[in-house]
Amino acid sequence: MNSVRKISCLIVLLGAVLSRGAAAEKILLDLRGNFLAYSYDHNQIYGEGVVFNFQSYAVSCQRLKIDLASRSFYAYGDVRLELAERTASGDELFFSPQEERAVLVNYSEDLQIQVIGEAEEGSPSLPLRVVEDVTLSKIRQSFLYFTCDKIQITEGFEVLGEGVVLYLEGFESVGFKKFKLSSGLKQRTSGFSLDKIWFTKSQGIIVRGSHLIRSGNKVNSLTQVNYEERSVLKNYTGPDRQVDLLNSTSVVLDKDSNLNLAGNYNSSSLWNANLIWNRRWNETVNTSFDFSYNKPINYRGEAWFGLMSTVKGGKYGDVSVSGRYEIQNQFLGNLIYGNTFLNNFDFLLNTAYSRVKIAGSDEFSEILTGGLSLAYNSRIFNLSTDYYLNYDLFGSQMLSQPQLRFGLNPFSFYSGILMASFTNIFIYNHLVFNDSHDSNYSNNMMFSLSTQPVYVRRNVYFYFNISAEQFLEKENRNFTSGGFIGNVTYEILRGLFLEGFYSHQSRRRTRNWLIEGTTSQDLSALLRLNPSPKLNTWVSVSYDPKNAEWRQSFADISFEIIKKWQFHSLFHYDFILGKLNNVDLYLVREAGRFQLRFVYRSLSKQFVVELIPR
Amino acid sequence: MNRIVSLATGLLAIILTGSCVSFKIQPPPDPENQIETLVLCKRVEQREGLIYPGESLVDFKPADGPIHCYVRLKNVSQTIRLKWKWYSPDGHLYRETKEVTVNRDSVYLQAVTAYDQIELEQEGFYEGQWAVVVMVNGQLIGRRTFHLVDG
Repeated sequence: MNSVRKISCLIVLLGAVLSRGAAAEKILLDLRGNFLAYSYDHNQIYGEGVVFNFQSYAVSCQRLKIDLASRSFYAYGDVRLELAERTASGDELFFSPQEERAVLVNYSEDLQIQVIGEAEEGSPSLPLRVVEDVTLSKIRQSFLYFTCDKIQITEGFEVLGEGVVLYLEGFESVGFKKFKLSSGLKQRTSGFSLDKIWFTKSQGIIVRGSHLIRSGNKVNSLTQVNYEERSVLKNYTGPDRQVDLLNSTSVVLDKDSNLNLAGNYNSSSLWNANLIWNRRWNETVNTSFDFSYNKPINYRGEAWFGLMSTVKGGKYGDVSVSGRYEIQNQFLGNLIYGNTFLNNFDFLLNTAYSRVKIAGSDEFSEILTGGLSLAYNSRIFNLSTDYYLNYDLFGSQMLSQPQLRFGLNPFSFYSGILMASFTNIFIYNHLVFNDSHDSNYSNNMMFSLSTQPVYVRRNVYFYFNISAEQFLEKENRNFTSGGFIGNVTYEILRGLFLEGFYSHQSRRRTRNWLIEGTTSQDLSALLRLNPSPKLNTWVSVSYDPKNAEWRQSFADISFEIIKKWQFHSLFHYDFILGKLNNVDLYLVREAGRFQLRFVYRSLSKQFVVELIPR
Repeated sequence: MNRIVSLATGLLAIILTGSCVSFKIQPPPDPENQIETLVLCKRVEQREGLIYPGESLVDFKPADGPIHCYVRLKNVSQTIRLKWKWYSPDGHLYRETKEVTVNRDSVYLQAVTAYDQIELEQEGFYEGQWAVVVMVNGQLIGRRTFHLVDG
């Protein structure tokens, strides 16, 4: 067992060593220009009179557009590439600095395309539509954007600026000599970060720190430390302090394989480590090998070795095999085979075997499960049969469950206005326990009929849905359910709608002569004003006709105040309690890859400022 | 003692922030001849001395009528020469306009709107991806692609 622990410790150490080997990020592109702007919201760059180096060429252009999210780089207007005595010129250059490839286009009598660098197989790709979307106007409308004298883009597509002026909602703000422009809430740079120092009455003093090491797209390692000091708390009965150390490292070995390491340690003597090697052998075969060690509190540690492989066999079907072995003779195995044949038949086989220790004892449980499914799908109906088997080899208990499903695909009639569907499921259970046998069955039948919107007048339409369900069981516990939902909409004026909604649901249980059950009804009205995308408001009220009482009312007001600032409010009035139950007020700024929200909630009496990455 | 601590803290803050924050950086002036809008549309409309695009599209059919390439420039303070070039799917120059001189008096114009068009029925029909480029003073300032589809 000691040797296993050593291996696990080595995994964690290996992660740390590999990640420490990562060097500082290389500069991929160095841009200088008469005008350079970067939008944090959209992660885009626009430049004018720009010079930069690409491969060994000195490149100059009138204008430059970069969309970092899609890795699209586009220079245009009097583009010149100079290398010693050689000069190439064109109207536009679509380039990929990470792959060192470019396409130079000339709009003369004919469209002339010249490939710079190593050409890939096939024709070179021309500028994407995404760069057409990059404009200075769009950047200027960002919540957060920068102008710079110089911009550098790293291998990891981080953006660094020199001579930076920050603009907040279009207003010029502070300046920086150097600034990492792309740093955001979720974007971490390599190095140590003190994430939190806090005190709560339940946890005491909390300190959280993390260390990130990133090397291009090859190595990524995050180590986190959580420390809680509870000795400062009164009447606390647990341990005085607790430390958690977590490490997660991923290493890309080559284009077909990668290594993932994860290790956790907790000062309460709980720890685990995990190493996974994923390998793609070819287009159809993938394999992953893993080793993990888990030491729970008060129990013996477990060391597992695992293998999982998937094979895509095309017309012969797909196979997935996995197996895990633990050194105390525990075992898990799984085989899945799936195939589609004769176009309409789907076949699936799934079998699993497990031999695992019962917690707190030296006994093992042994279970074999299996499932077999054959389905036929046609344009009109679908039919499937399933067989499920659970065999407890330790407890000598076997459950087999054949199942038959039949369904009519939804079909429309009456000129496409009405649509109906029908489904039936029959299940038979057979349980064997030692020498005794038990069996039961059930049948469930479902039917639904719905309409497309039916226009009574140009501005009045309705639609409804009727559904019925009958459940029958061997023991005579039978259920009958039915429901109706109807909706009528009247457009009073352009963008002003009045909607009525009625729902009636019934559920009855029958057992021999006894019938019991209930019905529920809901009648609601909604007034909606939606004259333009900038204004959307509705008010609703609901009434219970069965009990003749008003239930609740909601009101939602949403409109654009200025630019991309949106005001949104939600009110809830409860007629039963006779009070305004809740008021939520939002002020939202949509800003490309994040959303800024000022929120007030009356229920919790909270005012919250949220910055939500998207 | 407190004074020394305050001074040291202040000095440290100046050193730390002064190395990266500067309040004297002059932002660059606004670039000229900026493309505010460049779209392909079925028609254009004229209102209050300016032209506006109507129903912009990416896919066109011969029955849609002429295809307009509309451009709106902002921040124009010098005389400029505008030109359009249309390329068929096989990469041949299909149509090239003469250079149109705008703002001869070199006064500041907040917006300049202009368009060129091709007549599908008269000019013939080539299915596939077309390209149109707009040049200002002989330099490319914008390009758009569109599809001509049958039917």
